[in-house]
Amino acid sequence: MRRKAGSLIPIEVRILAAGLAFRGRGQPDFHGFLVAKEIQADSGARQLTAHGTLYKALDRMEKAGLLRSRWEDADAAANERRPRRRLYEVTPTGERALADAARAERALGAAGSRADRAGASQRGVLEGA
Amino acid sequence: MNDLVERLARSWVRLYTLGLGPEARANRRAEIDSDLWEHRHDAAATGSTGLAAAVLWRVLAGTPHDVLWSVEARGSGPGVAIGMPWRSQRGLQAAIVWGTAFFAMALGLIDAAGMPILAFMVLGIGGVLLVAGLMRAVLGSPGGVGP
Repeated sequence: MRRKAGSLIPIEVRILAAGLAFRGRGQPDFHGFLVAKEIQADSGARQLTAHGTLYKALDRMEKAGLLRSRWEDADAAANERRPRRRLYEVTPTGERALADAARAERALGAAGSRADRAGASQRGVLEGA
Repeated sequence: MNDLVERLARSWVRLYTLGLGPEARANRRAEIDSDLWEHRHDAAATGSTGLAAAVLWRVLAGTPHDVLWSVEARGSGPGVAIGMPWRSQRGLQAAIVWGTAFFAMALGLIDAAGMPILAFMVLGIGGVLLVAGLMRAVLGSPGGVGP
């Protein structure tokens, strides 16, 4: 199934939302495992996002300009005796895309409510007849 | 068990990044290495159990996306073009079908019956089939150039 150009799929929305949540907590960038943990905590999922799903999405989002990434300084990783982290940051384009997705969802929700109200009113008319 | 699953994860990454451009290959391998380290470190820090099963699930559930990503990266990057004779294509298709079936069985066993040893045996068979088929597909087979 092809998606509409410029629209976000759920994993992309979650990654962007997690990235902005980190920024709100004073942490401008994040690595793959960290965002997987955040998504799990936020969604209440039993498992962390699968490697393939997560890293394919991060790669696609970087190519689309929603995220930018850099490899952290090798010394920082060596000091903590761990592999280097690839650090991602939400770009202004990513922020706008998330805001657009939220607006679209609200509009869809409002349209759904109007349809529900219209349906209820029609049912009322029919029942009253 | 954790070491075994991490080895499996690294082997899988090595397999699906074979033939990609050096940067894409090195980046993906390093990123998964980092993720495995963070996952292990996090489990130790939080005292959570079932690390091997959790990592195995993350590897297996992501395999379709890994394969798709690999195919896309081959199409867009400066990777090594791999010609695929028709017999190799059949080997690849069979390996993917059987490998996926065994992976699915292994996942089911872990999730439903909690039988990690049996699940790992089934997973091992699936992995061997998948690797053998992919090797055959990548390396080609003698005289396998079809019509």
